[in-house]
Amino acid sequence: MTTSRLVKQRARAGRAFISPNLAAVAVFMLFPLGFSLYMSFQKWDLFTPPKFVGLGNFRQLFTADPLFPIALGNTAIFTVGTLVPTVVISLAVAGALNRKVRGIGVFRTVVFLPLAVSAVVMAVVWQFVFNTNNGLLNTMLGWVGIGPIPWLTDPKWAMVSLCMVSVWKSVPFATVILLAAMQGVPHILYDAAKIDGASEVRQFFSITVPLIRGALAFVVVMSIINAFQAFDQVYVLTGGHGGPETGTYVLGIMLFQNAFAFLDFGYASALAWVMFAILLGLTVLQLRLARRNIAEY
Amino acid sequence: MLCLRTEDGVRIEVADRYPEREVPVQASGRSFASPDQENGRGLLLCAALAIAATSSRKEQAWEFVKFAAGPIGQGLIGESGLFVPVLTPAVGSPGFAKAHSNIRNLDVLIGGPANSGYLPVTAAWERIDALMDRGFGPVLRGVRPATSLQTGLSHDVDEVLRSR
Repeated sequence: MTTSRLVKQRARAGRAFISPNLAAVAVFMLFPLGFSLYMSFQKWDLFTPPKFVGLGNFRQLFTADPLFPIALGNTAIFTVGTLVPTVVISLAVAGALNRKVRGIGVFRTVVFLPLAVSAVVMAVVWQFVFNTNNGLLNTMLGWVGIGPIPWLTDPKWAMVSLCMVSVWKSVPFATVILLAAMQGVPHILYDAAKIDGASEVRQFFSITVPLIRGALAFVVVMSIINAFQAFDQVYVLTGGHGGPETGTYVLGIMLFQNAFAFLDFGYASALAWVMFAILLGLTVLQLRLARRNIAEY
Repeated sequence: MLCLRTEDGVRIEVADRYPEREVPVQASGRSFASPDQENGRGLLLCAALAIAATSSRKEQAWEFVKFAAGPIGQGLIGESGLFVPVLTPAVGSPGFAKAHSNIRNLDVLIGGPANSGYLPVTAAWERIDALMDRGFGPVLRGVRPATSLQTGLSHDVDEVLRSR
């Protein structure tokens, strides 16, 4: 009798403790999620009452919107163009920072600095760097005799610039994760490898990389998610139209444009759910691959 | 800020970014210059003069604005070569032509109103703006000739306006 009352009391206390959090989740996550799902079947321009269109928004997105394949393709290019350099560079940087050298703290601080810069500030500064006529980058290229490159005004170069900025922004975070994982690798393994005569490069690829696979998988998933949701740096760097032409027209820009410029909230919600489905699929696939690898190991 | 060209002067209005939507509303009952003047081409883009509300010399400032917007001031502006004057006689004056003697085709500066049509002002404006942005890019970069706009951009804009 008494124990069951105690259990009940505890359960009640537990519910009371989590209710504020639960309320916040309900108001700020579940409601917007449900509302956007509801909106994706409506046509709504904020001013007139929403009109039910069934799967019309999705049909238009997949069959009638010439910009959706472009945005999807650009996002894919952008994802690959940031993911691969981010992983390679942050692996190299984390490997370099994972040594016992005098003053390593200074280097670590410098590498992590971009993490503290807001995306908009960063993009504005990069805009100065990328300016075709008197930007820092073209001035420096001019010194070695390379003609001005239209970094932000040519569609192809604009995507390259965007990837560079995003890599610059995401390397510190990936480095923090990878460095933390590297420091968790038992030192005995390196000692054993050294006795066996393995070079530092061999040690890196045969011991460090396999043992930080979990962190690496995490970095890859986070990079993909971040690349898919890229908006702020694109918006500031090349403008709200994803220009020049459709050079940087990624899904985030398309979503924003449809919702807040074209005031087509139903369509934007449908696009958001499609993006969510793609990301969910990619993440599940990635995690499954990572798990299979670990099982093999 | 809008500058509306009339037969003998320029009317300055303050409106939001959709002039044709805004001005007629203000015009009800009062005789403002119509943006439809010259088939809607009376709408100019211009640098504006204004008097600060806190100015301690409002009278003198007003005299200066009147002078700058009047025939003599406009003539001087034309001769300075810094701006295109808004008054029609000053635009066609020999002083203005002399100040821009290095420009072979003076119509580039002053022929706009005679060769332009309505700016599409509609609820679909943002869509058209995005289309124009995409269409003008290659032309401004010199990748595509301006004539490509006639088929590509015009067609797309028509489609957007029709589907409304």
